Amino acid sequence: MKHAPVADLTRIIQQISRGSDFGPRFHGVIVEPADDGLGGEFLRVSLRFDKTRDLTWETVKPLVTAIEDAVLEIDERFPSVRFPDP
Amino acid sequence: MSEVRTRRAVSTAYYALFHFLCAEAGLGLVGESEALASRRALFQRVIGHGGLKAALDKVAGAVADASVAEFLRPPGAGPGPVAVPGFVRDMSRAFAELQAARQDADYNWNVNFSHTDAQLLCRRAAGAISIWQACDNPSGRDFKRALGLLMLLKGRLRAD
Repeated sequence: MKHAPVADLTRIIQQISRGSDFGPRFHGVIVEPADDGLGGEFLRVSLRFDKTRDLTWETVKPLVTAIEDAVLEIDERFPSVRFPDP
Repeated sequence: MSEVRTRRAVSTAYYALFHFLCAEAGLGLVGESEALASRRALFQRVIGHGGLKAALDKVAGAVADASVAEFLRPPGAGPGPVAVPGFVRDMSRAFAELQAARQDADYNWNVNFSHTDAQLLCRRAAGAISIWQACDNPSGRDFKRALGLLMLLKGRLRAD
């Protein structure tokens, strides 16, 4: 299975997030490999924003899709992007 | 929203997507007649979570995985990579997202879900279903049928 180092994935996701429309509210990301319950793994990607209540799928879709595209280019584990409460 | 309700929402969104795809496979492969409802229901029970994910993982990118490209190639299409329709790619990604989230929601109490997470996931699932249903042209229906077969085959065309 194609796996990239977590440090590389974190760096790429940071770059994408900072460069997105949500850049000003982005304060960090945590990337954790996790068991998918089907014999494989996924990546839990927790984006730290200072405000999340106004987020909609339509507005975050470009960011989430960009992260998925970039991660899947170098890692076969699906990046599950989460937005924890500030 | 309480943590329990948030997790329940995530899990429910996943199962909505899972059952929708099983029903779509049934409609495409068994038939749409109301008289076939019982047969469709029995057929749908054969499709498992892992098999469905394995099939959809093969169509998560701009082109189909090489292992299934020939099977998914539209009739009459030339050689080379097989483009994955946008509505299929959306569905594949949505399913992978919902499946991962549901795994955490149902089994991992060390992970918290925010109200925002639950809303986004539900909206993503609904959006993927809506886009899928909107694609009803002949090439889209053909791809859906082939993908339904691939779900039944758990994403693999060979036993080895």
